[in-house]
Amino acid sequence: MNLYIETSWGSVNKYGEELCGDKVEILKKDGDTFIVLADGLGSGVKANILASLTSKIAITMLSEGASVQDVIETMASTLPVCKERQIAYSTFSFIHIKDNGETHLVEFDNPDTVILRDGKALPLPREEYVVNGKKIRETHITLKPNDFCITFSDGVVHAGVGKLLNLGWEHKNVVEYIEKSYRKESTAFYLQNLLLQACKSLYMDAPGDDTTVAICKIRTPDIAYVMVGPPLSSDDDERIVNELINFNGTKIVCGGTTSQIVSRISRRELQIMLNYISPDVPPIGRIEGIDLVTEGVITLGKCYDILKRYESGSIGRDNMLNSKKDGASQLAQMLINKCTGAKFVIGRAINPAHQNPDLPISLNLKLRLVSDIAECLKRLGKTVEIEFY
Amino acid sequence: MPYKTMQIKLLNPSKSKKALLEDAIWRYSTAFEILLREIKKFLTDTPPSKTELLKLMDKNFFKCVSNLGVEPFKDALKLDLARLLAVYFSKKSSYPVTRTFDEDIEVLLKSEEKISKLKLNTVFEKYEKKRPLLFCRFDEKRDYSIFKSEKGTYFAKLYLFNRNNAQNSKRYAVFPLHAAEWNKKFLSDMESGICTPKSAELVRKGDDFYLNVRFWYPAPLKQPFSAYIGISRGINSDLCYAISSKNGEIASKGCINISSIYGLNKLHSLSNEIIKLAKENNACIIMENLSTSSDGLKMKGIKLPLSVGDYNKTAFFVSYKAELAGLEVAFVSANSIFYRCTRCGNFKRANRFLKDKFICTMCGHSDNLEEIGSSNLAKTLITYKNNKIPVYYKTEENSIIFRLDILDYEVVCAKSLSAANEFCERLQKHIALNIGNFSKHQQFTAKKLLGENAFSKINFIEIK
Repeated sequence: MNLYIETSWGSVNKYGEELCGDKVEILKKDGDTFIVLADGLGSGVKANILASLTSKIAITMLSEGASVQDVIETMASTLPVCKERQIAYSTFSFIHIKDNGETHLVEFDNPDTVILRDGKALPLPREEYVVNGKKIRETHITLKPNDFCITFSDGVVHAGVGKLLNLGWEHKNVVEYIEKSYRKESTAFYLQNLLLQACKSLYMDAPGDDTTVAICKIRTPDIAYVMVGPPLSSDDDERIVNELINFNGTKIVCGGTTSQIVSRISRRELQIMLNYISPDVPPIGRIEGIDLVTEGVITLGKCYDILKRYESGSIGRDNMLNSKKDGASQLAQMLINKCTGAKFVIGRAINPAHQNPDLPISLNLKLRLVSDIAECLKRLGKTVEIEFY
Repeated sequence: MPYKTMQIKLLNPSKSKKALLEDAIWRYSTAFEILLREIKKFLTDTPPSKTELLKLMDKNFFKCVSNLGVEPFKDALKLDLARLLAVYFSKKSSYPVTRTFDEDIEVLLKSEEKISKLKLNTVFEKYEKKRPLLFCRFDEKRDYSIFKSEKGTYFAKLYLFNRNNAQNSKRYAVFPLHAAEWNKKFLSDMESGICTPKSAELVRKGDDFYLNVRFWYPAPLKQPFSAYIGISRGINSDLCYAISSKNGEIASKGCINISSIYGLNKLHSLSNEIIKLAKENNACIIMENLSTSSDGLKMKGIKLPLSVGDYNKTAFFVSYKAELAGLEVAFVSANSIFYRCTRCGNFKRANRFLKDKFICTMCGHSDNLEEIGSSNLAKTLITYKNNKIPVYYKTEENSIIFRLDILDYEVVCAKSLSAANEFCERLQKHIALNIGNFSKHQQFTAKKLLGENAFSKINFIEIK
């Protein structure tokens, strides 16, 4: 089975620094996912250059099949030498995940990568060897759906040192925190953002070191088929509805007229659900065999708001995403938590209800909303496809 | 009702007067214990009501102590007994013993049963123990009174004798009082009518006798407050506080530590500090109610500087001192205050990290655990205010039935997308018409629902 690897990374710069001394490179190639997290010596520009070079060299060489020894040798001869310490140095963690879950981990001086399965950290069978005087640790493991692979720089381990915590957060406590925060439906982005927020808070918003987290979540692919609006030509109605009904994945219908078309062609009753009343979002509907039936433009607009808040990582976004049960929240939850990608099928017919001059909803608005949602999902690591009819 | 107690020394009573006082205390204590044992015969497992208790303590009840000449203390004995019995019934511990006599020791030593160490200690510790003599009212013609001579000296007039043992045909004795500056403040308040003297107790300390007088001060008008101050127990300090504005923003946080003094004086100092902080910030004081639920702060391996009992005593001191200062005090549930995130509201035991640190597993917010408690307390009333009101509804074939239990209001609306809006409109009309008939609790809810945003204050819950 081809697995979907959801990736996410984020950094917090050392207080007062413009540039981050950690760098993450992610490469997806022929179904394989490569991730390198490099932490350059020191901070600021110098560390940024070291980390950027290291990550680029490592990801390029390792993804092309070079050995770890070759990578280390290349780095030693390429990296600029630090004037103060007379060494060329950058720690790194390299993760290679194949689409069948086989994973190869290479770590050099970075904090131990954590593999989370069912909310518990797995003990990893690490092999240690020395290349050019550098101690390398290598692990081969097969990941399963819903496993998390979490790697981070030493800024996480040292979070809070001399401030809230005397000795810093420490690796064992970081692992314990990750285990406690685990929720099956968590996304890679959510966990990454949570860890960074915790570090920032422990540093009392003045990080003493560059802090970076990179996370991948192994997921079973689930594409959402989102039908928005009736097709321009009613001749296409039946074909598109059949495509929707026979689609292998999550099925979503947005729009009142659209859901009536689906109901008519599929000969399945459309029911209006009043089990969650919201002052802002119209109620949802139910058609047998369809995962979610919502109203159109207003719901999409609210859904986009939720996605934007989720993406910005603002506090309270999670409540917004998971606690509400209105149509927009349910749509956002499906697109973020359940699906690994989305196929938007947009009908270009103009809704007669929208011809009312008091209701300024144009077709353009609908198209723009869908493309904004699509862009947002792409940024969150989802595969997105848009088709017009 | 705020009371203040003043202790005033009886100024060098002569030997004969000391003997009179000593005898009065002895008579009172002996009579009290005899009556306590007497009333036990009439008590059942259920606590007696006030009327039942008064019925029990009728004229005949006092016959058993007629030889002790305690007629002047009859009302005081009744009151004292009622107080002790109220404590006994509320705590449901073993029946109280205030004093033991020779006969008790004799019975104990002759007993063939094994004597427990506790029982032995109780009997010997309470042997001939004296109880403070209670005067239950301030009255010139009975119990006690305080007056000032023309020269400015204060005197206490104590009714200690019955007709038979009256001294020079007087049932009272007058004692000069040693009025220090602190005492004079109370006494001048009493003279000018600022406070009212209530009951008093005569106690002996070493060779001296003191009168503990309770004064009632009318509470000043409560000032409208502009902030909340939450006071929680600390881990590294005695207490922690957080001051929040009325919209829930924490303006300042800190700790209160009193390490130089111990015992009740320490608790009084802590309460004074709280009052001072509340006054400075014009804040409503919010304290934990640790009598009904635990705050969950204690953890294996850590010793907290302030026990639950000490916190409760401090809270009691704060409550009456705040009343005297015209400040508002609220006691709220202590449940979850150390586990709830002050930023996102997430409540999980897992949020407690190490012994004294907090990291939210939902939003990553971290802080010292003790500061989380006080911050949550400071925000509690705001949270209560913002809590949504549950409205239950049931969808029928052509209609939706809405029900608001608190106001006992039910309405049927046509099944449509605007049914909820229709309900809100009809509810507001109903409230406007009936607000005068609602109870205090109902009015709180009703007022919340009046106004423009009624919809956003309701949590609609479907009944299936």
